[in-house]
Amino acid sequence: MLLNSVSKITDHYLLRNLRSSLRLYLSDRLTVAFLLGFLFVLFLALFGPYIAPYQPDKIFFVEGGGVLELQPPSLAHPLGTTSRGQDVFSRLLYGARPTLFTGLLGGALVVTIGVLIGVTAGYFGGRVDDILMRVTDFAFGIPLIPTAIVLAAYFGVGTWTTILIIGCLLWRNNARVFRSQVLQIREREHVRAAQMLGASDRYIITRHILPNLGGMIVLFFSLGTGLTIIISASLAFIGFADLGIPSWGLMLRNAYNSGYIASAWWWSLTSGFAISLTVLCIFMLGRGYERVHETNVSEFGG
Amino acid sequence: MTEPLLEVEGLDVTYQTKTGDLRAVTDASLSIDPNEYFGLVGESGCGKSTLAQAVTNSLDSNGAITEGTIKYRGEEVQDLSEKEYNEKIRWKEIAVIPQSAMNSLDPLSRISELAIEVAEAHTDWSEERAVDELKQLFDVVGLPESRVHDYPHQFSGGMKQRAIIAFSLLLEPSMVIADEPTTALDVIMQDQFLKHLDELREIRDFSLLFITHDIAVVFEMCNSMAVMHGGQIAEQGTTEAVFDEPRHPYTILLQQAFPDIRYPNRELEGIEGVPPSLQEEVDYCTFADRCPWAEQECWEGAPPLETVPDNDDAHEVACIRNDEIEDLAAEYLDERDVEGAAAGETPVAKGASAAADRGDEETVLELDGLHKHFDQSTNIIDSIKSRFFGEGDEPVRAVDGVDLELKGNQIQGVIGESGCGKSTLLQTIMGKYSPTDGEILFDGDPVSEFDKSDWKEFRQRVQIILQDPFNTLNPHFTVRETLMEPLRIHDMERSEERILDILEQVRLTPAEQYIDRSESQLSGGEKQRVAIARALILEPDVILADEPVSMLDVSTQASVLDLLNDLTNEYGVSMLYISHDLSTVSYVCDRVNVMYLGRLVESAPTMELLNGAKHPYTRSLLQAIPVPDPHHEREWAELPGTPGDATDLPGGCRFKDRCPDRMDICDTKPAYVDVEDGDHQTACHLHYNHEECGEEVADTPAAAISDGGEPR
Repeated sequence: MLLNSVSKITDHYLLRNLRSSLRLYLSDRLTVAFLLGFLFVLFLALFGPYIAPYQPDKIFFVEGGGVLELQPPSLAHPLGTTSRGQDVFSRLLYGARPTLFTGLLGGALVVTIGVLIGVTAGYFGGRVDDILMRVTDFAFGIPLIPTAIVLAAYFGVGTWTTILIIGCLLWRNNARVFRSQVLQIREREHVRAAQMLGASDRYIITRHILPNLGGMIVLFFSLGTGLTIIISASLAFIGFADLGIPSWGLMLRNAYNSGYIASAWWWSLTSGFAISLTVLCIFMLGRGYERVHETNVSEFGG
Repeated sequence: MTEPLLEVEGLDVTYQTKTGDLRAVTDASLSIDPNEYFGLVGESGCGKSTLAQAVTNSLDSNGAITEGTIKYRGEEVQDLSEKEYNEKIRWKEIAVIPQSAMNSLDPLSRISELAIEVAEAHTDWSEERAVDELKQLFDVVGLPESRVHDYPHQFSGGMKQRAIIAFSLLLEPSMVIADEPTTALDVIMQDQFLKHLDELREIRDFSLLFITHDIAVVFEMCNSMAVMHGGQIAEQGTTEAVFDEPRHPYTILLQQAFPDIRYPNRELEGIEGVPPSLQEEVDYCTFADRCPWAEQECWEGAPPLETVPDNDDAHEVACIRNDEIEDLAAEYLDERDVEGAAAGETPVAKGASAAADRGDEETVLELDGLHKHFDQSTNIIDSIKSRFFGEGDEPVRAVDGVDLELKGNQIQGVIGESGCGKSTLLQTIMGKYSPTDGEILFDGDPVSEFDKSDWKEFRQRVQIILQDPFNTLNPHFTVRETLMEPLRIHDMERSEERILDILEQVRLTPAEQYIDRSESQLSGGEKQRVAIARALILEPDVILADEPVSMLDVSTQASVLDLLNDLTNEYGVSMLYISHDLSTVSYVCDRVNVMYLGRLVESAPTMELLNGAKHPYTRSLLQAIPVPDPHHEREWAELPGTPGDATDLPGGCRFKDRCPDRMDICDTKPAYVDVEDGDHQTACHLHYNHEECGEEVADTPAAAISDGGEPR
């Protein structure tokens, strides 16, 4: 009995699709490489602080009493030191967590709002669609960074504020794309058949629309995550970030402010590359998933 | 004998796919003479389009000719590069009429600009010469010369077709390849298209390679033909030879499967099974699996294409039993009939003759003066304006006064051209739109007064079957989940037995094998069967079917039609069957309604309609259906133009502008006069005794609507 229900759960259509998708997903070598890259960043985010040789804020001094500033990479400091005598390698390890945390949470927020608004507008149409899309148009008119600065001025700087601001502004692209997708899916015959069976709107949305949006949702989640990382880094760079949390964006800002951004390459370039590579990995993962989804669908269609 | 224009010899085409090589065409040989119309028939995936693409040097990038030669005027062309082919052959020698011909003109260029572009690419003609040639061709296909400078959107559908035919002949090619040019067209448009092509034969010299799944069109249009199955040519010869003495089982069964409007009573027999997957090496007869006469030997080697000893020396067939097949087929068909009778199968009449046996007295579904109009304006200001000041555009009158009574256990058909409002009618009945006026009565209760529980019951008792098998099932569901869905929504007992049982009912056997398949593991016909099962599992009283077979291959079409027929008898359901294809409609329906511009113009029991159509429109529709018989000389349907605009309906009869029998009275008197002749209703002045009824005509409510422009 129990075994039966367990096998029923494991045979649920979403799980089954996930399994077959995953198999297809891992068949592409490039995607596997980016997946490994992402897993590495994730590993750093989870365990970075435990591997880091020093505390991020620890200041090293030279024997004479001065700060050990701007040391190029050495054995004691694999990635050199900052102008304040902090260990760059440790700061980099510590920085993974806030960066990824902000990104994933922001991406989730962006895609959630986008799906909610896009699916509602697309599925119900008519007046609801009109109103929601005009709101979206309005959201498109809001300049991102200036608004973020103004809001940060009101609500104070901090990780949560950053996430909220980005989430509440970036959904606009997603909402439009999801809406147009839903407009197509809504007209498919299996949706019409379910409607004619008297299925509730909730049932149709959860069983017929959302599963068919799956690939898109993952793609836009990854795009949102990447964008959030970039924008939060930009905000940090211009000074809108919690100075107590050593994110990669903040490292860039500190490097710039120190005036040694060009000469202390171990400081500025490492954090810059960390951001870029993380975002690249996340984008490519989303891309790979979309490819899987497309092949699946074209096989279905074929 | 003249030298053939195109000769294909031993052609193999292979596609490289992720899952392995796919041999789309194997050892195909055919030859087309100058001025010959050659038909290439087969079901989807049989390789017919690939063969044409190989000839036109336009295979997809993963496809390649692996063996064989293509000779054009005796010269091998299969190895020409893209550039050489463009210079020597394309347009100048071989022109193509693409599959979605209607949409193949660039909407941003004038037709003359397109012509100049083509001429520039392939010849050294001056611009003036290109335009002049196009003008001449416009003349040939019956378009006014002055319109060469128009944009495509300025042409109607029928004119666009003619423009495309003219366009393909621009550089005087000796050969035109048309790949399924009529598949997306309704029967009237198809008829016009074929008519132009046929007339051109007299005026210009060129050969035509006509690729289609519609064997009737080939029998009608072509001199010679080839039948393809599973990437191989099964049979070829002159159309007469193939029709009179088919030697391949597939050809024989295909003829059996094809509806013929002349014999609506004939039983259609679908072809079971599917061709083998071409990804594996097929070293046996590709048809062996589906063939009722297959022997051990058929599985041992691919049959060679042999010449048939009859009076057509080009008649070839790839079947090792071709000498005895005729007797076998005759025996088999006899036996099947006897078997059916002996097994005590319900002596239910199939086809149109079932009409007499079916249909209760009770009316299940009744439409009473149903109207559905759509507002054209979408913005708020316009709709306010029209509401308060009565301004604004005329509404689109998609459905404009339809009366219909569907009796218990009866199948009624609604036919008409695309745009006649039949789909809107169906969707209004389903409740997708609320009617502008009129009433839908279900079991005598008006639908407009339904409350929530009534709707729930309605949703259980009225089911739909839709057109497109490829998106009628959710790609994320298995068959089990698809069939569980109705039970889940209606809180009914969800048992495995019930699903297995319904799968058996729709002939998906063994049901255990089908229940866990996902959507991608089903063929088109199987998908449509699952869709039928989904409609039947709630044991409904009424099924609304929207062109359920129009996208299926002929071989599966017949068996699905058969299934619908049988299930109607077994379950005692009623069905409203909507289609543009009178030949399939006549095969399942007890009664047929003909719809034109939102109205029913004729309604009669099927046999009566086929034998004695009264409305000129119905007569044209009947005439437009291709007849699968090369000996039959069909007259082209006389139906110029396109259906009028549903926003701007003419006064008087709506059909008058296209009517061959137009009289004066058609202009002045209303559009809808019901001439009842027993069970046969016609809305036409030809059959109306005006003296007897006098002025009453103008006073009927329907008349008031058509004149006043406002619904009641």
